[in-house]
Amino acid sequence: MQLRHFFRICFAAVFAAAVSALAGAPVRSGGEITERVDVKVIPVRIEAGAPELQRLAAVAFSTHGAFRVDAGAGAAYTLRFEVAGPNAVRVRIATGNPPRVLNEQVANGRSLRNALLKAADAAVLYLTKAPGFFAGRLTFISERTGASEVYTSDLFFSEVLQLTNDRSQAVMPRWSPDGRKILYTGYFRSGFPDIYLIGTATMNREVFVSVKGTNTGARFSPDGTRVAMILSGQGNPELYVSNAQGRQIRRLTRTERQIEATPTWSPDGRRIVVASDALATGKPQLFLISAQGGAMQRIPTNISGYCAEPDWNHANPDLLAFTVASGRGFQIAVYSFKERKSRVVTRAAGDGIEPCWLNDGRHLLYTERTATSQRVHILDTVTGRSTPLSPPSMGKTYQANFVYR
Amino acid sequence: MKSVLRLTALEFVSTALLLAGCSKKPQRPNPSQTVMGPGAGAGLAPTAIDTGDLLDPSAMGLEQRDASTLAGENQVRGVVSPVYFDFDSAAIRVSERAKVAEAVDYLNQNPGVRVLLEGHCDWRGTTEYNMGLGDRRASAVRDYMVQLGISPDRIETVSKGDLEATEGASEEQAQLDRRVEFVILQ
Repeated sequence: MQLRHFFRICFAAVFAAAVSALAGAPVRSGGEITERVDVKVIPVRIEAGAPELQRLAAVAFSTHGAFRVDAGAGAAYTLRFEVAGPNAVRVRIATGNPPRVLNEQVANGRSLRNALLKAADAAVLYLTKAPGFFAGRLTFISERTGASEVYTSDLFFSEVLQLTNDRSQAVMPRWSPDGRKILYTGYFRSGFPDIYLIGTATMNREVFVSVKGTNTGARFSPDGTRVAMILSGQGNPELYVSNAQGRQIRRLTRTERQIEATPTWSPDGRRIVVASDALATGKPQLFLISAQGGAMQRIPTNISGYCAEPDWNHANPDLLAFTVASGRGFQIAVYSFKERKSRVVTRAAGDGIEPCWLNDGRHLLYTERTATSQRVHILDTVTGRSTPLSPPSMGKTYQANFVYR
Repeated sequence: MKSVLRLTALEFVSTALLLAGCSKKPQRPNPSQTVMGPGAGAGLAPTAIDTGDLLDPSAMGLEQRDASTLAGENQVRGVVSPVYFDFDSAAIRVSERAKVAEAVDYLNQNPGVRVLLEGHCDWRGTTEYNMGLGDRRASAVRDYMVQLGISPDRIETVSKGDLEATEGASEEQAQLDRRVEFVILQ
């Protein structure tokens, strides 16, 4: 244990030095960087026709646990990015000396920045055989204005749009699978927690579910045709499923005096995992239930008296990320259905909460929370590398949800 | 000798039971037994749902919220002090029951007012579970008030979860966040 810890420190130091040595690449501070010796990491050299592209590509690859950005001669591959049109970027993947081009692709995007990220994702796919996540989009809550509002942005917190401006509370925004809609809970107008639906193309907002009680936790099914949510309109917070319009609402749980929270769909849309304190108030655990209803089956996470905020990995259905009470704080854990085992994957200084898997099934977003700050981080669950994403200028930023489209 | 003793013991037990039965007076419901206790059916009684049908919320016993619920009513805080809760608990402590009784008295003396019960949690934990916990705390106070004779029509509940909690609070401060506030609507 002591030895492992020592190696971690050594690697953190070496990696930090390598990052600092990168000319022109902004060094992100505050993130805990840990590398595991036994995991394959590909050293890449990044070149670009424009300094902004160079910086963005370096930042992107530095968040990915399968890569190490290497400005020197140690790189196994050179990735060269060139502007190929108003919103198009070409990437060339080369190796050896003299360089031999292995692959060349042109990516079109919504913007030049988006095209660069898509080209970088193409390089990730070529080199790792796993999809890249750099061009994904976020919806999240920020208290930048002093009130909690719903925002969207790209993964690296550029192209930021503030969607709501209500100065009331907004909670847990979630994308539809096609990235065209966002569901969230807001205290807008009525002063009560209701579920709202935002169309991101039209910027139209409508009330999705507003029944008496607490309406929260809404999440689209993987095919976008149904929504799981928590309503307390029949006296107690219970799990319900509706259609994509918030109608045909059906109740799935009847725990009467216990709290259900934060449903997440299985990748095939047939089951739901929900946090429930059915065993003891204040001590939620994770339960599996058919999306058609029926008995709740406890998931033997066996890691903490407090397990909540499950997020089912849709790229790797074996894995479930969730928030656990750990020591004096909270951390993110991952449960494997096959192994029937859990492990803590974050070492947040304060709390690690609100996990959300990315499309590669390896990285996830989470919030690091201390007494005075909340910040969205990206974590590689394989190496443990954690990098802060949300800039301090956004203020408290949390509850990030990811979609790749 | 042995059997006589047994008989006496039996008589003693039955007399004690009888006395206990006689001395039972009507008393205020004990919320730890009624509101929170197993099998106590306070609150809404959910009906069985036919899962195959097209159902709108009202067909399920889910009542649409009137968006103007609080419109046109002044919200007055501080008339009755808040009910405080133990960590991770929605049970009304014995020491807090007098506050609920005080709110009930206030509503009885002021038939024109209603009350909004605002459930809060401390900053620890997770946002949406805490929204559920705040909901349960508000419901526990509502159910107790209804048992003390207040019409459910005069009570609104809302959960604020941990959204207004002091972040980074000490244990002393956090205790003050675990509460249900009485907001008088007039």
